[in-house]
This record gives sequence, C-alpha cells and structure tokens, in this order.
Amino acid sequence: MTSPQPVSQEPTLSALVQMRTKTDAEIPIVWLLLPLASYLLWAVFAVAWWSAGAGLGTSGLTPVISGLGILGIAASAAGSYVVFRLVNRANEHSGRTQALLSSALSSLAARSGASGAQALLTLNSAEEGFYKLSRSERERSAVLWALLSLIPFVGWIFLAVSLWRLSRDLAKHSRLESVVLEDVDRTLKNTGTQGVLVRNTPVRTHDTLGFALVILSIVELFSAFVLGLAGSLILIYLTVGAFSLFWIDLSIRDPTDHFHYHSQLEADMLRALPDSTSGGMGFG
Amino acid sequence: MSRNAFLGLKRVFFDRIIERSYWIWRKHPAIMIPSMLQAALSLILQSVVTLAVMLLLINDPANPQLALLLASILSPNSGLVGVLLNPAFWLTNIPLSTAVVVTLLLVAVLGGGWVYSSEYGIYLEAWNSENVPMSSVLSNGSKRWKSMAWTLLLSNLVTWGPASIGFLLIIASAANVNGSAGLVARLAASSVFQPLLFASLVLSMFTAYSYPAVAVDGASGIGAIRRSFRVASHNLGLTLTYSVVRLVFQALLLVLVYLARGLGVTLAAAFLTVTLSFLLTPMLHLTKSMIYYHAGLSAAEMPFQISNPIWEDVVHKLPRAIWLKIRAGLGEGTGFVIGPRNLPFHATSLAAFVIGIYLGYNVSVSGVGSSLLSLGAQPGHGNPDFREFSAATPVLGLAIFLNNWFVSFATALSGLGFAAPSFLTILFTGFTLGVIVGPQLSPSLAMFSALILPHGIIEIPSFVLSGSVGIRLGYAAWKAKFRRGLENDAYLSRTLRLAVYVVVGLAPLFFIAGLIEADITPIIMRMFGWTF
Repeated sequence: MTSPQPVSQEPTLSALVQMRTKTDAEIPIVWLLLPLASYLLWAVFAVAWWSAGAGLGTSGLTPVISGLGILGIAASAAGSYVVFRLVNRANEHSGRTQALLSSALSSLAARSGASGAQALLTLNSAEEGFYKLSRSERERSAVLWALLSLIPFVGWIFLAVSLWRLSRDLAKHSRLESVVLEDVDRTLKNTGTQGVLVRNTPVRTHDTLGFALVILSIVELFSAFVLGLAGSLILIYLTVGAFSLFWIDLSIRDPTDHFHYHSQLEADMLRALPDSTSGGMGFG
Repeated sequence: MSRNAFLGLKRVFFDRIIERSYWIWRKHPAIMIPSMLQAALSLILQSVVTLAVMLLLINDPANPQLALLLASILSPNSGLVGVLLNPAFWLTNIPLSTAVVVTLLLVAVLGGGWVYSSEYGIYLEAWNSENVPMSSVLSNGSKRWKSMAWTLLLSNLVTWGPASIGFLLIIASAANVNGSAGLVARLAASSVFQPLLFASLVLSMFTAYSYPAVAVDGASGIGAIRRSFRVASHNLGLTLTYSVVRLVFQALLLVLVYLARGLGVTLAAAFLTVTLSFLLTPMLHLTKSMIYYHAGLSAAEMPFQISNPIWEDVVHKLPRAIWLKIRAGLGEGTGFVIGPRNLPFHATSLAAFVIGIYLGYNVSVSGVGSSLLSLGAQPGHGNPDFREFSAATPVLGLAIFLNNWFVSFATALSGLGFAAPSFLTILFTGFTLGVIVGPQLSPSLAMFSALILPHGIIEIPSFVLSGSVGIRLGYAAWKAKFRRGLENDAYLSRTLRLAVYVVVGLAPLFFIAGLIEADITPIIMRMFGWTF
C-alpha cells in the first residue's frame, strides 16, 4: 500500500526544496484534450437527446443516449481531473512556499540575533510579510471545484469561476511572496550572507476576462426567460464552455515562469541557509 | 508548534483531510465495518417486518391483502416504508402492527446509537493510531452507545422535524380533500412544505457534526447538537464544502444509475449501495469527523504533506489489495465450512432455510398462491429484463452479484443481534422460495428447478453460509453479553473478523452465480417452457 509520505511535523528546508518537482509539476498541454473531449461529447449527447425527443422519464432513454451520457460523464470526470490537478497544484505550491518561508525565517531568526538591530528589523518586516501571506492565502478545495465542474453544462460556469479565482490567487501569491522574499534577501545580506535572487514575476489576474465571463454568464442565465432553459444552456455551452477551455490553457501556462523562478530562488536559499535543519519555534 | 499556530493562524484544510481520509481508508479497512453494520441494522429492521408479515400470512393465508403485502416486500420499489404505510398491514392486526412499529423505533434508535458510536469512534482511533484491530468495532460501539442513541434521536428530531411537520400536514389535508375548505388546506399544506423542507436541509448542515461531537468530545444530546452548530457556524465555508461534495457525489451516482437503466441495467442501485457503503460513506464521514476534530482547540493544524497520487493507487494497487482480501476470505471461509465445531451453526442456518420453505409452501397452497394469481402473477412467465441477451446482460449479472453479496454481508453481520436477524433472513429467503414452489405459481417442479437451480446451486449455499456465520456471531455476542469475561470478548472479536472474511470470500461465488442468473438461467428456463 502506498501511504502518504508525511515529511516530519516541521520539514527541513532541503526536504521542502526537494518536494518542488512534485508540487510545481508541469501539466502537459495535451491534457487539454480531456476537457475538449468532454465538451464535444456533451454536444453530441444534447443533439441525440433533442433528436430523440427524450424527456426525463426512463422510457425516453434509448441505449444510445444512455451510452453517450455515461461516456460524457467519464469524459467530464477526466476533464475535472485536469481542474483538480490545476487547483491542487496551486494549493500545494502555496503550502510548500509557506512551509519553506517559515523554515527560512526560523533559520534566519536563529542567526540574526547576533547580527545587530538592522538584521532584526528586516527580519521583523519579513515576519510581518509572512503573516500577511499566510492570512490572505486560502486553500481552494480542489475536490470541490473538480466535482462542480463535473456537472454537465452548468459545470462550465463553475469551471470558469474556479479558473478565474485560481489566476487571481496566483497573482496575489506572487505579489505577497515577493514582499517577503525582498525582506529575506535584506536580512540575509545584513547577516553577512549572500542574498537570494529576488525577481518580480507578475502573474496576470485576467480580471477583464473574468468580469466579462461573469456578465456573460448572468445574461445567459437570464436569457432562459426568453429562450427557454435549453436555449440558455446552449448559449452557456457555446460561450462559457469555449471560454473555459481557453482558460484551462491559460491556467496550465501562466505559472510556468513563477515556478521557473522558484527553481532558481530555492537553490539560492538552500545555498544561503544550508544548515537550517529544524523549523522549531521561530522568533528566536 | 508551527509558526502559523504561533501567529494564531490555525487553519483546517478540506483537501488535506479528505486526501488523508482515503489513505486511512486504505490503511485500516476495519473502518468499513460500521458502514456494513448500518446495512445489517436495516436488515434487522426489515426482519422485524418480515416476521410480522410471515406470522400474519400463516395465520390468515387466504387474505388477498396480505398476499399484496408479501408482493410489496418482495418488490424492490416498495421497501419497508411502503409496507408500513400499507393499510393491509395496520388493519389486519392492530396490536401486532403497533408492536412492530414500536420495536422498529427502538431498534432504529438503540441499534443506530451503537452503530454510530462504533463508526465515529473507530474513525477517531484510525486517524490517530497505527493499528485498528477488529475489536475496536465492538469496543467503540459499547463505549458511547447511550449518548449516541440520545443524540441520534434529538438530532433527527431537530433536523427533520420541520420537514416531518410539513409532510404530516400534507397527509392530514389529503385525508379531507373534499370541499373547498379541504382544497384550500391542501394548497396551504403544499406551500408550507417546501420552506419547511428547505429549513430541514439547512439545519442538516448545522447538525452534521452532532455524531462526531459525541465521539470526539464525549458530548451527548443537546450538548452535541450545540457543539455541532458552533463548529458549523465557525467553519461555514468548510461545512458548505463538505455538504456540496457529498451532494455532488451522491447526485452523480444517481445520474449514473439513471443512465444505466437506459442500457437495460435495472439493478444498478446495487452499484450505488455498494459504492456508498464501502467507499463513500466511510471516507466522507471520516472527513466530517476530522473537520470537527481539527476545528477543536486541542488538535494542531495539519502539516504540509505530499502524498503519492490517489489515482495511481486506485489503478495499480487497490485491485490487488482487494484480491488478497478475497483470497484470505476464501481460506477463512473454507476453514469455517469444514470446521467440525461450526456444524451446529450450519445445521441451524440450513434448518431455518428448510423451515422457511415448508412454511412458505404451506401458505402458498392455503391461499397465498391463489391471491398472488389474482393479483396478476403469471406462472411460467419470467422477468422481462432477461428477455434477450444484450451487451447489458453481463452488467446485469454484475449488479445481481453486488446486490446478493451486499445482502449476505448484512445477513452475516446482523447476527450481532443475538443471531435472530440472521436466522429470520434465511427463514424468509426459504419462505419466499416455498411460496413460489407452490403448485399455483409453479407449473411443474422441472420448471421451478430450471428457474432456481442453475444459479441457486451456488447462491443458496452461499446465503446459508452467511446465515451460519451470522448465527455464530450471535452466539458469540450472547456469550460476551451474558457470560462476561475477556475470553468471551476475544471470541466475539474473532468471530466478527471471521464473519467479515467469510463473506468477503463468498464474493467469487456470488459473482459466478450472478453471471449465471443473468446469462445462463434464462436460456435454461426457455428450454423448460418459460416465456418472457
């Protein structure tokens, strides 16, 4: 049996750096085919359903429609796995970054005591930045969003919402993280150690796209009063569904620069703080 | 203490909990047993009703209303509630039906208390310890069953009280629908029902942690409900996430069952039951319990961990782990069958089956057979679902297998109720066969044999065996209860473990029987003159 691999209660800096290949994994772009397959299969299902004039009673269910429905759910499950991976990757990256920074700050606290007031000042500022980062970063349940995006047709709205939130979270994470890293760099330099690479890698929030999508979704939901439920679902499918596919592509690509930056930063950090073997309490 | 805890930033992570729940489920399969005990409890409730119906039928076999009652018990669409709401049940023997309802309520609350105490107690133990022995099922059940029963009763009253009031109003208004006043009352009741149902659904979110509160904090009754409300309102997002995840999982399974019907798989509900009982219920209830546990002040924030992907485990390792358990079960089952000390249990189970056939045959020839004919039973006419072989037929066989296997789990584990439920279930299986073998319903013995024997030759001994191990479990429970001692407690734990393994080992037999029933029995039936 493969049990979870708990790193110790307070993992070491090097252990956390080694986890990078797992948490910051690249998602192959071909995985886009999974939600695309789901998108197309549900269209075929809807056409077949509509052509057969089927209602909600089981008598209207032909083997072809049922088979297509089951295939559609299987494809949706595969598509929602992509959503799960995207959201989970963001959670794991954020969780690891926080553990990494916590470990680095603990190590710095142990060193900076003897390095004078300037080091303590910058360390204090880094602690404050870390507090803000920890407070403002919330885990988005990957399980929840994956399950919601599994719902046929309406799930496309949830998918779009989850991806928009993901983009915003990543942008915020990048911004707050760089504030802490600047202070860590300054503290390191104040303790006479070589600093770490601090580079601003802004991640786009796609807010314009997000707002456009929300407005579009609302308009299309209300269009049910004019076009009927089927018409409204078709509109959602054609617009929000297609938008979501595009957004999955963005979500796969967007963090690449940030993750690449982390690979350089963490190597620097490990070099600057090689003996940080225990997290401990921090705060000296 | 972590830096975040020091900063007062303790958080509860839903995904970390649900992911770890999966690994706990993999590491400690014993946490599935309380879910199976739920099924056993349902079977005990059912056996109370079947016993009453058998008694009524033996007493008055010519009563066509009672034959209808029997038909509705056998129908998968009616169920226990359908039988209880049937006027024939109430009007034939009011004292008996009142006794049945009182017994049902008592068994549901007290038995439910024991099962939930075992379930939530074992989750807590599995979360915090490396080893969860089978005896934990029993020790946790006995530990807080009174508090849990009281909480179960109050929690259900608080949660479903509003919806029940709405439902009763609808029933009351339906009883007097004549006239404009009756119509207005009906409309008013219908319009009140929806908000009351909505209120119950909202309340169910807030009372979700009542049972974990009993297991984790040792709370009871209103105290447990109050704690549940507090945790739910302080962690509203998390509770909402849990509720939505649970709802979507269940809705998804229902959609799959619905679509499977279109493919001709009519028993797809068996998939739903098995998936819920073996996987989803333990995982989701464990998640819920651990949300409550980690929301408490004493538990630390879950540290950041990386685990191997669950998907890889499900595809590559889980099937082998299941097969190893089945193989172990086959070994245990063989030992149980040939063990000379088990002969009295085999004999008792077999006797229950034979007595059931005898009683069923008697009531069939005394009038039940004729009543069923008048109700539309067609001798020599088989289930139309088996009309022709199609791509769905093997899936139907799989569904029959899962259904029978699940029932045999419930039969064996319900033996904990001092053997009587296992005995009664086997008795009722025989009773049903006895009714069908009656001359009015079976044109000839050859046709009856063609209907039963091809798959029954494997299925019936397997059922009798599950009854036998259930009776042994009842004997062990009786010894542990009335002849207290460590040795008898150990014997009960060993027998519970044996019961689980024996039924796990029956899986291949039920699988073969299910495939024969769906694919081969209809062919043989046609050869002997059956039509579809």
